[in-house]
Amino acid sequence: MIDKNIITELENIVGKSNVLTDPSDLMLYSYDATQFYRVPDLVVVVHNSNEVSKIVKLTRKYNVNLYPRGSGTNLSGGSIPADGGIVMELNRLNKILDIDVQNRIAVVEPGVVAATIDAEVSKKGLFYPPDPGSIAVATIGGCVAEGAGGLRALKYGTTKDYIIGLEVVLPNGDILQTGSLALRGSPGFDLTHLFVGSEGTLGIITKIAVKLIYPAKARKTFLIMYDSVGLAGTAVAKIIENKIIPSTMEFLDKITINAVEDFKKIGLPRDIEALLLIEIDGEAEDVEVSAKILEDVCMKVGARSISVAKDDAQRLDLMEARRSALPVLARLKPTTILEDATVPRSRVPEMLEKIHDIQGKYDLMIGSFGHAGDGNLHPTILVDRRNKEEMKKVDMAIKEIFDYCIDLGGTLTGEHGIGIVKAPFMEKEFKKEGLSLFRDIKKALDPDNKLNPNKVVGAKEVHLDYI
Amino acid sequence: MTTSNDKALPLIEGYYEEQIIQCMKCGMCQSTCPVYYEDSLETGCARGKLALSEALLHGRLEPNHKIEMIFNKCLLCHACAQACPVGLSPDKVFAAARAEMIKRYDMPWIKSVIYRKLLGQGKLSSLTGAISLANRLKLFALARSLSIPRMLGKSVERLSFVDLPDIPSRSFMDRFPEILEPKGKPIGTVGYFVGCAQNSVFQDVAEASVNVLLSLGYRVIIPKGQGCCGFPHYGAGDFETLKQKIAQNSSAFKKHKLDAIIISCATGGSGLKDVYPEMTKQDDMTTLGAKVYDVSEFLAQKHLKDLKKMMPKNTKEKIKVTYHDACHLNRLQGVASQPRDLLNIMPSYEFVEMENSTKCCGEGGGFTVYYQEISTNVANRKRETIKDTGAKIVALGCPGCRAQISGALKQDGLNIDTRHTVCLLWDEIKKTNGK
Repeated sequence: MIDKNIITELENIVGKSNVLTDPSDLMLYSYDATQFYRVPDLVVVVHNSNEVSKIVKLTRKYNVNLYPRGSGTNLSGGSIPADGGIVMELNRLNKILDIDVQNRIAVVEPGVVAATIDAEVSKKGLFYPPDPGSIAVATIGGCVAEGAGGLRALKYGTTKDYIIGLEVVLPNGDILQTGSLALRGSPGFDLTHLFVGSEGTLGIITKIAVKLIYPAKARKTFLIMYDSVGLAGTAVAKIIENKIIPSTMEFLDKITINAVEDFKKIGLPRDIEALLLIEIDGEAEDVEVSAKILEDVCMKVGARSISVAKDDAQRLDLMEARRSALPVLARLKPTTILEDATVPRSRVPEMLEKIHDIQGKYDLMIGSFGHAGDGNLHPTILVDRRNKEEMKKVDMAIKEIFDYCIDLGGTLTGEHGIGIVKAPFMEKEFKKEGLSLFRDIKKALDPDNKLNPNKVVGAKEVHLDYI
Repeated sequence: MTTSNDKALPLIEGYYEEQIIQCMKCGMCQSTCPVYYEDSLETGCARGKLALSEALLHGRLEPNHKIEMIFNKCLLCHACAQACPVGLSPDKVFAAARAEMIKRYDMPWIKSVIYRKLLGQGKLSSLTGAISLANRLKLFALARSLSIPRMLGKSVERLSFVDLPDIPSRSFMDRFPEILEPKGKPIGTVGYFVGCAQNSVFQDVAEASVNVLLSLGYRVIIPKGQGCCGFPHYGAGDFETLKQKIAQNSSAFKKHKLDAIIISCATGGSGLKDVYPEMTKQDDMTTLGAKVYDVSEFLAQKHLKDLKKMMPKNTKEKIKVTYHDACHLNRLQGVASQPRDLLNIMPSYEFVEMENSTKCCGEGGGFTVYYQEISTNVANRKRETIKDTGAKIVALGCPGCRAQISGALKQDGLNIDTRHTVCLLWDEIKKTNGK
C-alpha cells in the first residue's frame, strides 16, 4: 500500500483529481498491448515538466517505483508497473510547441499523438516519416522511448533517425537538455540517443525536437505474388542490388494471405506462398524509371504476377492486403501475440523457414508478415490465453525464435523495444560484457533502480500474468 | 443501495465474454473515442472498460457505483467498433454491463421516473402535455436560473441546455389517424414508427415523413399500439423494460400487412435494426413483420428519381446547408450517402460538408446527465465545425443530436437552424405544390 503522505504531497503538486487511487482506476493503468498486467498502487496525471520533476524527487524521497506511460500501446510491457508503485500518465503534455518551417524542425511535448505531428507539419508542406502501426494512438514520447519503426523505415529510417534534441527529467529530478536545434553537432557523447530507446528507464522525456523533411512528389505501389518464400527473398535482395530503395517493402506469408482472403475477399490467390507490397516514391520521372526496373527484376526472379496501382483508389486497394494483415490474424483466435524478430535482410527466408518449423514443432498457429526490406518480421502467434498448456508452448516457441534470430546476426526487436518481455534475452544478444555496460549506465543515472525498474536490463526477473 | 454477493454476470458471460477476451489491448479505440478525446483517461476508451468487464468476470474487482459510473461513461456512438482491428462491438458489451449494474443497484429515482414511468408505460402521448407546458412556460430555463438543478438533480439542468421547439399540447399520434390514404391508388403500404421524440417534441419530423410518403403514393399506417422503441432502456441497462417494448411494438406492427416500416429517428432505427436482433436473435422481418428503413434510406434508395420530379423549379437563391452524421444513423445503420443524396436534389439548398461530420455530438442519453461537462465540450467542437462551413442550416436525422446541437448553437448565439433532412424535403415538395 502506498504511504498516505505521498498521496497528500502528490495532490499538492497536481491537484486532487489527478491522483487516482480507486481500484477500478488502477486496473485501467495495469496493462499495455502485450496484454500482461500488474495493478499499480497509484496513478498520477501530470501536465508539465515541472510537475514531472517534483514527482520524481518525491518518489525518490519515499523510495517508490515510478513508471512513465503514454497511451499504453507498446508491445514490450514497457509501461506496465511490473514491480508495483506509481504510474505517471504523460499524455496531457500534448502541445506542439513549434513548427519551424525554415529549419524544418518541430518541437513537441511527449503526449502528442504521433499521427498528429505528421498531420500538422504536412499543412506546412513538411513530412514526418516514422509511421508505426499504432501511429493513430501512440504518443511521440512513447515512440521515442521505445524506438518505434513503421512501414517507411527502409528508405526513411525509424523514430530514432528524426530525434535531434530532448528535454529529460533525470531520476534525481534534474531537468536536462540534450542535443540542439542545429542539424549537426559532435559535442561529446550523444546524450540524445542515450535516451532514445531507453524505454523510460533512464529519465522521463518531457520535450522532443524532431527534424522534418519534404514529402516525395510521386509514388507507385505494387503487389507481387510468389510461389516460394525464397523467391520473394531473392526479389527483395535483387531490387536493392539494382539500386532501388523502396519507401515500403512489405511481406505476407501464406497463413496471413489466406486469413486476409478469408475476411476481406480481395481476390488473392490462396496457393501462393509469399506476397510483397512495394511502394517507391520520389520525383515523378525517377519513379517511372525505377518502376520499370522493379517490374523487370521481379518477373526475372519468377513472380507469378504483379499488380500495379494506377491511381490512389487502386493504391488503397493494394495496401489493404498489408493493412489488414494483423487485424485478420487477430480474428482467428482470442489472443494475438505479436513479435518483431529482426534479421539481416538476406536471412529473411531462413528465419521464415525456422518459424515454420517452430510452428509445426509446437503445433501453434503463427502467421508472419512484416518489413521485408529491413528484415523486421512480425511472427504473430495466435492462441487462447485461457489455455495454460498452449501458453507454455508459446513461451518455448518465442525463445526458439529469438535464439535463432540472434544466431543469424539479428536482434530481439526491430521496433517494439525490450521492456519486460524480452529483458531475459538481452544477455543472449549482448553477452555478459554488453549487459554489464547496460547495467552500469542504468546505475549511473538511476542508482536506486526506481525509474521503470527491471525493464530492458532485467535486474530482477518479474513474472506477469495475462490480463 | 442493494449489494449482492452473487458474482455471476450472466448478461456478459458467454457471447460477450468472447468479445472481452478478444480485446488485444492495442488501444486503437482511443483514436476515435470522443470521450477519450476530451479527458485522455483510460476510463473513457473501450479498451479500459473491456478490461474492467474482464476484471469483474474474473472476480478481480467487485461491482460498485464507481464502476457503474465508468460504464456510464460511454456515448454508445460505436466509433470504437469502427476503429477496432479485431472487429469487436464494445458498446454492446457496455450496455450489457450496465444491465448487470442495474440488477445490483436500483436506478436513481429521477432515472426510474423517466425510463420506467414516462417512457416505459404503454402510452407515448402522456409525455407530450407535460413537456409542452413546461417548455412553453420556460420552466426548464427558470429552473436553471433558480439553481433548482442542484436540488433536483442534473436532469433538469440538462433540459435547460438543449434547445426544444414550441411543442403542441397534443401528441402527433393523438392528432393523426391510424391509417392515412394517399390521393390515388396506393403504390404500397408502409408502417410508420413514430418514436417518443417525434411524437411529442419534434412532431414536425413525423408530419414531414408521413406527408412525403403520402405524396409518393403510399398508404401510411401508424399503428396505435406502438410505444417507445426501447433504446433508452437499452442504453440505461434496463433490459427488462426493453424486452416489454420489443413485445409491444412487435404485436402493434404485426397486426398490419406492411411492405416496409419507416422510422425517422436515428436512435429508434438502430434500436429496431440493431438492438432488437441482438436481444431476440431474430431479424426485423420476424420481430416486426417487415423490413425497417430509416426514412432517408427508404426515400433515397427507392424514390430519388420520383422525388427529383417533385422539386420546385424556380428557386431564387440557395441556402447553404451542412449535414451532421448521427452515430446511430451512420455507424449503426450504415446510412450516410442517402441523406446527402436527398440534400443534393433539393434546389433551394447548396450542400456543403463539415469537417468530421461523423464525430459524435456528445448527446448519448444518460451520458449528458452523468458527464455534463464532457458532453458540452463534445457539442462545442461540433458547433465549431458547423460554424466553419458558413451553413445556415444543419440537416440531421436524429432528435437527440438535434436537441444537443441546437442547444450548443444557441448557447453561442448563432442563428443556425437544425432540421431533419425529411423536413427540408417536405418544404421543397410543399413549394412545388403551392405553385
